[in-house]
Amino acid sequence: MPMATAIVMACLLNLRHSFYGLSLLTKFSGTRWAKPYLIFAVTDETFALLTSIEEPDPSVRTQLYVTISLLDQLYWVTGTLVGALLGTAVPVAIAGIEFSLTALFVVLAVGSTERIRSLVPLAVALATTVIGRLLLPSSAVLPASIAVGTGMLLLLARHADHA
Amino acid sequence: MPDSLVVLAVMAVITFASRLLPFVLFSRTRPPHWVATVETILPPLVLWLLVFYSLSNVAWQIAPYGIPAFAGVAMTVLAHRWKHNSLLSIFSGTAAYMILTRLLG
Repeated sequence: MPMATAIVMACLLNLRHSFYGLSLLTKFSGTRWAKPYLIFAVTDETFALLTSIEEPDPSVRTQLYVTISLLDQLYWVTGTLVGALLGTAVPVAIAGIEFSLTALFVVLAVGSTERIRSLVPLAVALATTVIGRLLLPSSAVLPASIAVGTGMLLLLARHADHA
Repeated sequence: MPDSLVVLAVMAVITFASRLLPFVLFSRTRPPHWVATVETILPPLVLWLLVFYSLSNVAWQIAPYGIPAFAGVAMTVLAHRWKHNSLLSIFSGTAAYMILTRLLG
């Protein structure tokens, strides 16, 4: 892969983690020695879990966050290794198994939507994706949707505060 | 060092820097008020966007018109609303997708 492509792809793929950090600033404050690792280990799954669970007791908070992050990292590394070793030998019988990633995101999205009791983020996500796919190259749709969608939801939230 | 290793190293730096950025920005100053709002609205927005992003290779205009993907998502949502068991929801949704892909494909 050419260097320029690699840089653009890495930025586009990782921009969302900058946004995830905004949601984790307060949670990670006071985690002391573990903070660098917790920041390093942020993934979609870890972000989803840490923002889903009840605020833990301060005495076990750091330990709990590190355990979740370590387990998620272990699953990622193990899964990637197994995939890399067996990937070319995927039997026809399990073709389509990749849909389980979509299903995982659906499960997390449904849980998240139930917690905030609002379908507005779903509507904004659908609208920005459709418009983005009409106007932008495919690799730019997700980061642009996150940025524009966050802006739209912030404006809507401010409007609701004033109403 | 082979080129692929250099590319890999650069991607690793960007990957970590993207995660570090917000913590560096607000390490000295208190985060502004809007960050608290972002904390609540971001997870549902991002998770639905990831759902749609993972479906971006579906060909909606040609047979089977994305029916397996649509049914797989619907099955996952229904199973999750019903039992709230993540593994059951993922398994049933993926099974619906795989079965319909074979029947209609």
